[in-house]
Amino acid sequence: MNKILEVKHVSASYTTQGNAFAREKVQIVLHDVSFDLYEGEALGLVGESGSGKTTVARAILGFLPRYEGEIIHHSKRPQLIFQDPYTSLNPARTVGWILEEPLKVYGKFDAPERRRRIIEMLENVGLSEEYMSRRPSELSGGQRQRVSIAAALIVRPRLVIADEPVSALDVTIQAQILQLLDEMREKYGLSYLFISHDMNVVYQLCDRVIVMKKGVIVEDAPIDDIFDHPQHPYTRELVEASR
Amino acid sequence: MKKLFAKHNNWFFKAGFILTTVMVFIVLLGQVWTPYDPNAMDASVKAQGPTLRHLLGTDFFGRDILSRILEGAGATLQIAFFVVLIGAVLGTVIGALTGYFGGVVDEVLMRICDAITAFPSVLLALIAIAVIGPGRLNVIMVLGCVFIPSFARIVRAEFVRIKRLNYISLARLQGVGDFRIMLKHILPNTLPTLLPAISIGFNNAVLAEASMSFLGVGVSASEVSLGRMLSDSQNYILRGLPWYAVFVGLTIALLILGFSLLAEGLQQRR
Ligand SMILES: Nc1ncnc2c1ncn2[C@@H]1O[C@H](COP(=O)(O)OP(=O)(O)OP(=O)(O)O)[C@@H](O)[C@H]1O
Ligand SMILES: [Mg+2]
Repeated sequence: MNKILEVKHVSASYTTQGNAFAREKVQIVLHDVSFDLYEGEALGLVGESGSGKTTVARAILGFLPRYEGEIIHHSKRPQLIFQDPYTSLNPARTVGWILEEPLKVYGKFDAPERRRRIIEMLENVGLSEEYMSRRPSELSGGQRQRVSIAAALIVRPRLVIADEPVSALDVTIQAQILQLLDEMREKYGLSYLFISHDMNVVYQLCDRVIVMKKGVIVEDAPIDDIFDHPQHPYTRELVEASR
Repeated sequence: MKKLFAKHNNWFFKAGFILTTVMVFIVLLGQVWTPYDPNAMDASVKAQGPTLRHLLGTDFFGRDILSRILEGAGATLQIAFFVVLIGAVLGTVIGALTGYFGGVVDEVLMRICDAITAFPSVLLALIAIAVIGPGRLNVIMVLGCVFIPSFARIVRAEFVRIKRLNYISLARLQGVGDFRIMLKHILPNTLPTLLPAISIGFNNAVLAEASMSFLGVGVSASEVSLGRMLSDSQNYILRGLPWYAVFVGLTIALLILGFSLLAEGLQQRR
């Protein structure tokens, strides 16, 4: 299988600014993180809050100003789905505008073709054409997350990073969104880096899991192995907690 | 327009909108039609109080005060319009660039803005006019420049806040360029802050023109403006003829009341 992403020995730290009362502090957030992601694979990244999961995503997407190590992309325009569906859509714009913008910037499609693609993508995520004229404030959390997925997929990426995409949603909506992500993976042959703190959620979607603790990868194994014979005590803890 | 009304369904907004619309309409009407020629003198009706023929009375030269207020308010609003235009457009451009890109240019420009706003704006304008001389165009340019920092600061703060939001990160991932992000993704989200600021800007510009012309450093002596007329009307108060000053003052008060109500209404939701 072909690799779509290689993360090699990545270390990162945040520097908190000092002031009159506190010295400048350097906090190491990622320590020698390495993993590969293969085409068509859904890779889970789990760990407790503050373990550095979001920092990994930020480094991969180029939002982290400084890090050591190397990240090699084998695909163009990786996309991101955020946890919070309330801040990931421009409140001043309609759903149609939000979905059309990347197509316009791409510049290769005329207006009817753009419209066709928007409607097709809305249908993909279970929304009808009427939603084009809606603003994000007129949508529920689940609907917003559907629009976020549509916005990520409309540029036809091959790699999608989802940072706790269902954590802010009700359990029933969670299942629907996970189902949708799974369908989209099949339809477009996507690779996922799926970040979560919930082993149950990861189990529903992922083929393989990386377990991270305090910025260090403690386990990297196929999903069944993680559940059947977890190697690291921390993994065991997480699996126990999810039962 | 409909959206604005739906969003700001409060009495401040409605009252401000109606008052401002009525005032602006009357002033615009005054540009094409006034009851009398504002400069026509009539020796038979010198320095009268309100009468049926001259609703707001006449001045020492027998000129119709209503007609002169209409013309003067036109000049004042025109000045205010261009002052706000210069201040808001240049302030937005500077605020957007510094807020979005940050860095050294941001530091330097913001310190300059701090320095400018440390002085009362009318005082600063007075000094500048003392140097380049009075006149309508000079007043517009000077006040326009004095108004830039307040707009720049407001817009900068909004750009700094909004550029960090998730939907801007996503736009960047989708390949949208910096300038398009500033113009099409961030700017529309600054409108809830920018619109009231523009309304307050009109309020301040009308006051600034009035203050400056009142002090004799605004429009030149041959021109009419509300500030100029307020200054002239002092002579009438001294001679026991207060109505001239009252009507000019009332016009200024109604104009700025409209803009203030509008600003307040735009700041409140519902
Ligand atoms: N901008 C920042 N400045 C300073 N420290 C930060 C910053 N962002 C994150 N950190 C710190 O880095 C560590 C890792 O944060 P990160 O957001 O990657 O964790 P996470 O695993 O995504 O947690 P969560 O599950 O809560 O989202 C935390 O200790 C956090 O306090
Ligand atoms: Mg996180």
